[in-house]
Amino acid sequence: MGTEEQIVRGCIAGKREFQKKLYDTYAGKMLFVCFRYTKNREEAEDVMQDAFIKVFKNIHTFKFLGSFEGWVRRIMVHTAIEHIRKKKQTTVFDDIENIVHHPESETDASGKLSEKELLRMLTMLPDGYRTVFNLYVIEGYAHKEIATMLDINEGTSKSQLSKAKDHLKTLLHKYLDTDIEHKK
Amino acid sequence: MTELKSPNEFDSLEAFFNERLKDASFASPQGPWVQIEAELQQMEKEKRKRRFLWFFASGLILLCGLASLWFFVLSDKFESNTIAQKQNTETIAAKNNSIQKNVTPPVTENKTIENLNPPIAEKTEKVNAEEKSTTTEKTAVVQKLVASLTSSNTKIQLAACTKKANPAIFNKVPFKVIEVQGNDGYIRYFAETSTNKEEALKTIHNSGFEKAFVKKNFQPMGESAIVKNEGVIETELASYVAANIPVAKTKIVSEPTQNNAIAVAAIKNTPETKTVKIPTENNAIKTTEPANTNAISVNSTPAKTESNTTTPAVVYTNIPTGNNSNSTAVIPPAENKNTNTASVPETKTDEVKTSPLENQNTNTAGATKTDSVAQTIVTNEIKPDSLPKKTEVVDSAKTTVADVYPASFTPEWAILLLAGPNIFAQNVQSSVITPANESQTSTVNIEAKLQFKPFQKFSFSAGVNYNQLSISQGNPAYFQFNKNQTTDYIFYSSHGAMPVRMRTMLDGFNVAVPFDTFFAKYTYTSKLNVLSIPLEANFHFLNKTKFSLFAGVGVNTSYVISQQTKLTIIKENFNNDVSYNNITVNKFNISMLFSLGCDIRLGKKLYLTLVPSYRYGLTNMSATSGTTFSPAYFSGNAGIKFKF
Repeated sequence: MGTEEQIVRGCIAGKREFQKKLYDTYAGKMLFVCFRYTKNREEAEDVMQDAFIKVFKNIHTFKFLGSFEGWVRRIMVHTAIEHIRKKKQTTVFDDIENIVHHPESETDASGKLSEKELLRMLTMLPDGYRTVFNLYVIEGYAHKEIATMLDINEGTSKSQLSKAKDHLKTLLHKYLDTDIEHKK
Repeated sequence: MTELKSPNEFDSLEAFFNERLKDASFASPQGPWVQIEAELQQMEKEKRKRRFLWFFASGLILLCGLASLWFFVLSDKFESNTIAQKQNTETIAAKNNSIQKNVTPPVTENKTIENLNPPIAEKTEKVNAEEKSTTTEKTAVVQKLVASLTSSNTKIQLAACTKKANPAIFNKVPFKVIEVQGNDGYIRYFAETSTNKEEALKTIHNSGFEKAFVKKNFQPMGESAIVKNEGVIETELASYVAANIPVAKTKIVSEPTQNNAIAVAAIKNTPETKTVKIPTENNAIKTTEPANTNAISVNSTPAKTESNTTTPAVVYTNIPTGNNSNSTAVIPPAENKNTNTASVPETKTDEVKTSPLENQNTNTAGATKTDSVAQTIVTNEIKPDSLPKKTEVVDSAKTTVADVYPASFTPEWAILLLAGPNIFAQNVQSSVITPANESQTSTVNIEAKLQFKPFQKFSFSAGVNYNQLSISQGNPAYFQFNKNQTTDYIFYSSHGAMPVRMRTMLDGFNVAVPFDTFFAKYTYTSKLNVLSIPLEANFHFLNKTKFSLFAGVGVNTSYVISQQTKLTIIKENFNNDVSYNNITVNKFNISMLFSLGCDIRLGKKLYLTLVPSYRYGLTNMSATSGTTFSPAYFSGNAGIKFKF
């Protein structure tokens, strides 16, 4: 059970140990991907679980032509988008003013923003903003692709991205102000 | 690494987020793997199930295919058999007529019954001993017929009739005469000759058939027989369906059909007698005739006499009934109470019976018997009504053997394709749910069955039935739960338990409120997709030409192949929908099956079938303790039945 190809081939053969190995290899990273699209860890785990089922169900279609991780990541992203679409309940967002900042725990020794803090900021964004921001900034999709994926206009995608960035700027301002005051 | 130390650096925000988050990772969580593994196991099970179903369906199709193949092979045999029966029946009548008219009645008076008629048991032995040779003889006759029909000899059409002609009318034709029953309903008679056709035609014209003509491109389609062969009537029956069918397939010789035996007697004016066996397998047809005659003579003087001629002949017949076991005498019992040597003792071997007929002038045993047989022939010809019905068939060319001796029922196969609605009866007892709140909604089932009917009144069927069992709680029911509960909250239906995570339960509620109990409502629908194998025995209590009625009883074994359950928790501001695909039910179940149906004939092999049925569950489908759910429902199925 060594190389990625061997693991994938083992999964295609339906061998449980290879499936477990594949899960262990990618679960942490993919949970983070899912978390970026959802609002909490449980939801992210649910999405990741569904996505892994899809991965194992469709792994025989993987042609070994590109990055396997990229293939898995795409499945995660699409599953997350599906999940967002299916969600019926209206998401109630906390007001940005109410964000509680814990610089001791969230900032690393060098004073940089940690990944968790950044993730928390992302979860503060409304679903639409967050999704477009994730797809454009982190996954690297073009607005046209995002528009197709989310069934929206290209213009909507651009404006959502712009608003997401504005939100994040406000959040970062607030964070940095709080941080400076805290240091004083 | 891109750093963001002040808000002035926001220009690099996109790159900053991309760099920091793209490859970020958590520690690998093990919780989801348990769920994934369970899901994968479920998938594998379903895959195995699907594979099994495919194998089952393939096996069923293969079975149907083999059954169809077997049937078609068998139907060929049956068809040949039917043709042979028909041929035999019709030829029997013609033969009877011709023989009766050509019997030579007088016989020397010094014959005793013993001389003329050796003991029947002895004759029976002879018949048995010669059975093998008769088969060969019959094969030869059929081969001769086929050879005749296919030969390039000139065929001269003598006549075309709608009914069979008396072979005696061809007595003057000095050639072999062939009878061909065409598919157009006409029976044609051809003379076959290898000599100069003009001369032959002239001869035939002179013999009374002035309109006879040479038949070009002779194509003997239909049933055929040799009526007259070089001046001699063939006593054997033969059939010829088409020139390209091998003799072996005609089944005339070897097929033990239910032919009527015909009693014949042909006597010439010679003192010596000889027993001649007309070869059949089942029918003992014996003729007593002069030793120097190998066949019944066409040229004999017709026995049209009504006098009490003493004719030394014995007539006995063994007619197989439907099951080919018992025999029936053709000749009726003696009507003459004055005779003192009326009957020949029965033999148990083939239950041959011989009885003398009416004779007012008998004095001695031998004479009486001899006279009586002769009288039989005469009586048959003059007063056919005086004989029982079974004898009349011999005289009637229109009556078939099957009418008098109905053929045994031929097993039938049929395919049924049915569909219809299910109407459920409430059959739930539970301490955890309120059955009254739950309704079992109507669904539809489809069914494909193979039916085998080995007997007239009974049939058996087996097949595959796809069905849905559906329940729902249409009206939302209130419930309450404790916000501090740590385990899953469980809802119950008659199909099974529906656990919900507390996270979902608390979703939408403010947990900070100072009370512990929350209220909500819930509804659910649950569908089980069930594949069943119904095995059924049917009693067909009314069999009419156009329709039949039957009642059936059987066992229905079912297997839950999949399920869809949707639970909706109705909260103040929104609903939580939870779906399940694997709530726990007992997947294998058995129910009793009762049906009452009718077949309405639409075509030769096509029937409209209506089968209302009732299934009563014998096993508990619910796996929840405290709940008993045995589905009971009516199905109003209708569809088509195709017999093959």
